[in-house]
Amino acid sequence: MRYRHYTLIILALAVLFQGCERQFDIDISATGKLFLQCFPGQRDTTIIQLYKTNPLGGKVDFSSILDEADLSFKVNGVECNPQKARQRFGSVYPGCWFVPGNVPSGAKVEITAECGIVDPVGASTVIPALVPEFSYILSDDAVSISLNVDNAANTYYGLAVICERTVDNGDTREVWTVNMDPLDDGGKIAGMPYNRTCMDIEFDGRTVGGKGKDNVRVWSDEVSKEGKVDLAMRIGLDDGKLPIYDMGDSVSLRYKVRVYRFSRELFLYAESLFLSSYDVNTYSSGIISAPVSGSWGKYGITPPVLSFTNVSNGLGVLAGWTMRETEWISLD
Amino acid sequence: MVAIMLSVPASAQMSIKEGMARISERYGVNFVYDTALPVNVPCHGAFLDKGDLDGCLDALFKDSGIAWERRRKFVILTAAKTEGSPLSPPEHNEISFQMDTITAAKITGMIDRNINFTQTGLTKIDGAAFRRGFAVLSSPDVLKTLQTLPGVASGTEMLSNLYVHGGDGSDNLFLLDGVPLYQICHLGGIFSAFNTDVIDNLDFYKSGFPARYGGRTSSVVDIKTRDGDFKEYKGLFSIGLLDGRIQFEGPIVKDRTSFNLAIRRSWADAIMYPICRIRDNKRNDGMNNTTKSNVLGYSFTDFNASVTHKFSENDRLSAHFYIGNDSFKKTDSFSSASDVAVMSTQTDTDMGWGNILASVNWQKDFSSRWNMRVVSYWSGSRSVVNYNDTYDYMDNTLDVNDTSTGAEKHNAMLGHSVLDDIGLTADFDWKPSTAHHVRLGGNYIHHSFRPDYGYGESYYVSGRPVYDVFLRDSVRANGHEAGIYLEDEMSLTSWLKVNMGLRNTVYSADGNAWNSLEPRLALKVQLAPDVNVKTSYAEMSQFSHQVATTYLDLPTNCWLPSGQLVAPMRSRQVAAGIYSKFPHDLHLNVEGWFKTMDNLVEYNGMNSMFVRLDEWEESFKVGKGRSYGLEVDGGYETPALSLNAFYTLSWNERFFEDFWQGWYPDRNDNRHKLTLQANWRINGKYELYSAWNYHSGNRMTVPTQVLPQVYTNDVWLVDNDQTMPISKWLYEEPNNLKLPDYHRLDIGMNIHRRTWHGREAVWNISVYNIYCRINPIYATFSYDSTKPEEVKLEGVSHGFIPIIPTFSYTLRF
Repeated sequence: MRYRHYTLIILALAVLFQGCERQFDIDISATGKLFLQCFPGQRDTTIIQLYKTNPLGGKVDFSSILDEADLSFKVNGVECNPQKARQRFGSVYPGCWFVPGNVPSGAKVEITAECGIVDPVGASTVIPALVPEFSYILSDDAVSISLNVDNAANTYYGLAVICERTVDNGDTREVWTVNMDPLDDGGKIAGMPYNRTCMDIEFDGRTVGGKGKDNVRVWSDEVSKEGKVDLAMRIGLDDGKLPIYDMGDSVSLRYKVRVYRFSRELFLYAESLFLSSYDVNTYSSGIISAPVSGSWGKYGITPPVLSFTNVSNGLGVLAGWTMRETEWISLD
Repeated sequence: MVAIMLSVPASAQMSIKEGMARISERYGVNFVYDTALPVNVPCHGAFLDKGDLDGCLDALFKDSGIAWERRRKFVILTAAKTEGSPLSPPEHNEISFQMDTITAAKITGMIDRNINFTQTGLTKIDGAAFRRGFAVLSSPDVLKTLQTLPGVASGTEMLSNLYVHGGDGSDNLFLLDGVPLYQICHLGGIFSAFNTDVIDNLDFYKSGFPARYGGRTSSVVDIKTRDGDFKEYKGLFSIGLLDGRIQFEGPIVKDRTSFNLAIRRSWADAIMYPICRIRDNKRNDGMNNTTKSNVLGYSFTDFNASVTHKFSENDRLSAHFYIGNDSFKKTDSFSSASDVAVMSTQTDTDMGWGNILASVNWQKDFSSRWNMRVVSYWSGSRSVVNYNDTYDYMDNTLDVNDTSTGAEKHNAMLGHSVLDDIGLTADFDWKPSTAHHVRLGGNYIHHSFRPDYGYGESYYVSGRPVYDVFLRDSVRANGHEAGIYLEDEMSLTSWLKVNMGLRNTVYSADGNAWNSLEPRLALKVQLAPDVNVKTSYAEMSQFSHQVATTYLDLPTNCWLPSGQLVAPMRSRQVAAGIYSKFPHDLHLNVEGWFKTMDNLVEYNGMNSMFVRLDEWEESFKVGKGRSYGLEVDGGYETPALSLNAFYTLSWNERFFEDFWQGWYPDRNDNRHKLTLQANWRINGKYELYSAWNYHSGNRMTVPTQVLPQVYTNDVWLVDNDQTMPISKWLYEEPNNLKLPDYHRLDIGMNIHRRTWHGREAVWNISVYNIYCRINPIYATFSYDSTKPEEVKLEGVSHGFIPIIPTFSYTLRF
């Protein structure tokens, strides 16, 4: 009788305290697609990335870089015949396609791609207008710019500061150029309403990234609705990025202020990367202040962050940009 | 034994009406009768000693001139023919609302329920049903009861609202004695804000909305509270696992003025605080240089009060007051001292939310054909979030009198949201004949929206500020909402009844104005005495939006009026069904609906839990929705045993162009929903309850594509997160994953006892989720990292609600 009681108690406890997690299969019918990423603008060479994605539920095909594809790249209707890079030269790397020269503002760019394995894709965009002349105030820990704009809607500005450090010890002379890091301040405080207007992304005219690669602070088009744009941010420099110098070395710093103008597609694409990469644990101040969609969206508590695309039948983005920068500035 | 327990010593002094009240409470039946019947005369003998319901009724009405007839849960009273009463028998098939003051309550003539009403999608629940039903977590609950009904999705388990016919949680109109209420949940949705001890009855509309209702697009929950007893003092005391309740009512001036008070409070905080302290003391014991403390507490309170005065049987004035409040406090602190430095951190989180409501209700019957109700009210919704985070550091190696040796960092966040409604409603009823009922009236509401957020951050090193900012974001908006309606319900023939209505609402806020004309139509065709076919069409508008960044009912949510970018929401719904009653107490109702919703809003994700208020519309995407489906409600009901089955087959979809170029399933798109309920009143002492709830899984969004990380020379082409063998998850269609199905079984038991003093005591023992099904609340996906080349995903569903046994003890006095 006693054993029966013990058995019943153990069984009851086993039911009561069974695990709160259960495995189940995710059955999603998806097929592979072409992923296209291209940011035509003022960079001297336009790079086109084209890959084949892998639908979930199967094996990853790591040879997703396409050996061959029929790729068309038109600027204002004129075919530019993109070339496949077989080896690295300059900023062009193997596996991608490239078109020499930059793309002027206002130009219409169209891309179509077909590889025979999955559905062909296409996309088009218009390169934004040039960034107007701007005035700036720069110190070693802050920058602000001011410019007048003509068209308010769908105009997205970004701000970045480049730092060049030259170390001369008499024998050698080292020159390093790095991006200054945008820092949190009143214009961007994690988790508060005020961070809605801007985000920090990595952008070099070739790739765009989210968290952890900050070098350009991008504002939404809200800031350009009054006809005048005033942007400001605190900046800092990670000394680890720069060459070490001794007390006797001669060290000089100089800066460039860059103002970007992004197309709406580029902003939305960067935004979706930015939000999806946020993690609730990023901020020590707890869940209240964490941006919710990138973190809680994964748990179904908030609306999901979807991968923005303007590529028909595929994924990725074709989006243009322009940029204006100052000459080198010394703060002495 | 049962007869002894049920006998009431004072029954000899009771009136028939009071005897009816006792029988109603005991057996769960409702009386339907003409107020001209002589029910106020004393009754004879101990009628409750007769063992069963029929015996009790026989004894109560013996020689009273009243005849009775039992039809399922209703007892129809008529003048006994042998008395030669001049009263004509009431038309049982057409009785809608028969007012009377039995136990100071309104008796609702609900003969054959769905058979009798013109409206589709209407469910009527009387307050006694809540008190007899299942008590989840020790208290019976309005929302949990409504969630079991067909056409209603329950959302995330325990953290939910009502999602009616594809709607969102914020588009349900909750009326408490005619006054709109905004915060309808305690503890994020685990408890509703309505104390069932004071609820008289509840009307729940899912479609076919009469023209007298407006302002929300999905459903109407019209709750009426009971007046206090005009003759004697009585009440109840209840203590449960998580909360306690006291209700007390009685006359202030006998037969003229009465009061009804009810208070409910949880005591989780009373348990949690000492537990936290004991744990902290134990943890810090023996730690010389560091102390750590985590204190957590939650409580909710609500208080209902009403005073009713009868100037005459046809003229009464009542005042209602309600306040409900939730409070959550959390404090985490840590300090460390050494010879080198002293460091301390403290984080305080304080949240509170709730409603406060005051109203005056005047009801006057000018004649048997004309009556009027005027309600003036103030309804306020409040929520507060305060968050403070402080870090102090002091270097002991330097001069302690030198303030330049330390650092201090402080973060503060606050959110206040206030919504005040001041309103006046006037409703007039005109009944030119028994076959014709005209309602007309109007209302005006002044909405005052005052959400307010702020954030401060300061950092001082060596006494000098590195930065010190405080930012504030607030809105002051006023909305004016004025509506008029006309509703005409009439029997065109013996088999055709129609309810036609038109409502027009004008709304203005912040320089924007809208006019909304909303036609309403309901039609009932009686195919046979017990078979009806109904159809309805209704348009509804909603001018206030709940601004929320999550799907949870949190104090960071606030309400704001429509604006230039976000127009008022609009729903259009057509419904039709067949409602039938069969012999042997069986019934079957089948109803279908199709509903469209415009100007729905969905958070765009570019923010924190606090929405930027001054331009909140830009934080939301605007889209539309549609929902359609079929509901089946079948059952068997007798006073002793009721068996019910509710089944819903539905589709619920959204179209937000900014999210996806096509219709996609809503997160509460539960294709199938089934509820099986059984309630067995074994005898006057025991009753059993059980319910099995099932629905298809909720939906969430998971990625569908993966782009392998590509590294060429020194360039990461797609992503440079080197910790992941899979570089980039790509999301496509929203809500593309259906979570595993939800189901659980609840059981409960009520045990009625008599105390030594003859008072009634009820033990309620309930078990939520008896077979401990861990239903998924959300899911995460993963892959086997040892096989990076294979990304067959496995979902992991996470659930937190195990089996929960609860109890409560209720003493009526």
